[in-house]
Amino acid sequence: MHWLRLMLDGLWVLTPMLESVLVVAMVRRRVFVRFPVFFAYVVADACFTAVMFVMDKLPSVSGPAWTRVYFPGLVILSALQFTVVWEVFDHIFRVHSFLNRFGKPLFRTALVAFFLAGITAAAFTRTHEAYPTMAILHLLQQTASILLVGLLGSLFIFSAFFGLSWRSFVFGIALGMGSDAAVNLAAAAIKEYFGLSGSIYLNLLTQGSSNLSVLIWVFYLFMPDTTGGNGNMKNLSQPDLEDWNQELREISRR
Amino acid sequence: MITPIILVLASALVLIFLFRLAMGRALTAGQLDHPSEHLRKVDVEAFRNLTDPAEEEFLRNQLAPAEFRRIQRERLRAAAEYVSAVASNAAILLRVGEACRNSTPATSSSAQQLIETAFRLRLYAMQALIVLYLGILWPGHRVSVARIAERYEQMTRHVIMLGLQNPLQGVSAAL
Repeated sequence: MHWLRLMLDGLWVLTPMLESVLVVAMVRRRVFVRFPVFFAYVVADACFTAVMFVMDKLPSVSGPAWTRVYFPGLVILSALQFTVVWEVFDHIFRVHSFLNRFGKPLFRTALVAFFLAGITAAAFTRTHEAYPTMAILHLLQQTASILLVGLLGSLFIFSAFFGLSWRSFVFGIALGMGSDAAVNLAAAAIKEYFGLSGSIYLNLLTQGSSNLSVLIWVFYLFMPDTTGGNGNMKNLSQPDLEDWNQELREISRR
Repeated sequence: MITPIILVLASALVLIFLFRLAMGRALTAGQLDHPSEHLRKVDVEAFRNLTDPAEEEFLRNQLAPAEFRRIQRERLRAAAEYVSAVASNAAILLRVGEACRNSTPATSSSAQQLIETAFRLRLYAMQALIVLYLGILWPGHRVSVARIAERYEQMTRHVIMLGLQNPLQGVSAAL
């Protein structure tokens, strides 16, 4: 078990390090101007994870003291996550101006629907968690994850339906956040039902998923944009006006 | 026990969906480089014939009910093929329109028109697919999807107008 603990610590430390790389890259590419909330979220998560790790290792910090910092931090980060999702929605619907009228209604409908789904799932969840505080925490995490997964899933399904193109980094943000939320949802549901707060395997899974989501963000930040949008489509030959006119005449004849 | 099972299964499905989406995105990234290679040919006249109410009425009167249902199912299946090709072309042309939107003012206006038409056509094609599949299930039921052909031609005209201002590498020829 010792090496598993070491691995967990390694993954824990790796998260703020990867997030620092992302923050620097976002600043250098000036992406933080276009995605200020996402930038704030990554900075906040990096600081929060680093502080929690240090507090966890300091013998002078008691369990209740750790929890007193952990809970409010988690609430702030969750609020930021939802604001990031709104930022992604806003970006998608602003870029595709013809969809403007669908943006807010879709967000509101999905929010209400998945909030109700989260509440229903919480009502039907039987907890075997020994510590009431942890039971409440897992239930809240489960509800928040259902909301996040639902909102992002709705956006993905909606854009797949219309074949919308996403700019690489926006797609990356949604993909990273969605996959992390899905893993957290499964972990929260298992922890709650089986009372496995301290399960090192589940903690390894969630910590690994956090790191993977940061890697996804870094990957999509550096990936070239394939959506076009600047009017300079690649590999286009010069117009053959005669051909086009011929086609136009044929269409007009129909 | 059922709630955690449902939640874990839902999470697994979401992860599979996201993975497929990311892979699909990587595979379709080249669609804008050569849009005409990805467009599917649609024979609008053949589609009009397949969905012509007069033709359907004629078959209904001439054939025995069982034979009519069999033939009508085949006709609707063929029509659904055409409509799914139309929907796929509309999605590609939406992206073409977006890519041309920010160039010269004249191109931008044509691109905007193409986007609007392609968007409406995609929406309508999806509704039409549902109607056609319901028609396949109940072949006696009258199916009306003729507006697809009109809208498809309207979209083709916008592609040609856009192509006159901005070369689209044989896109209209592929439609």
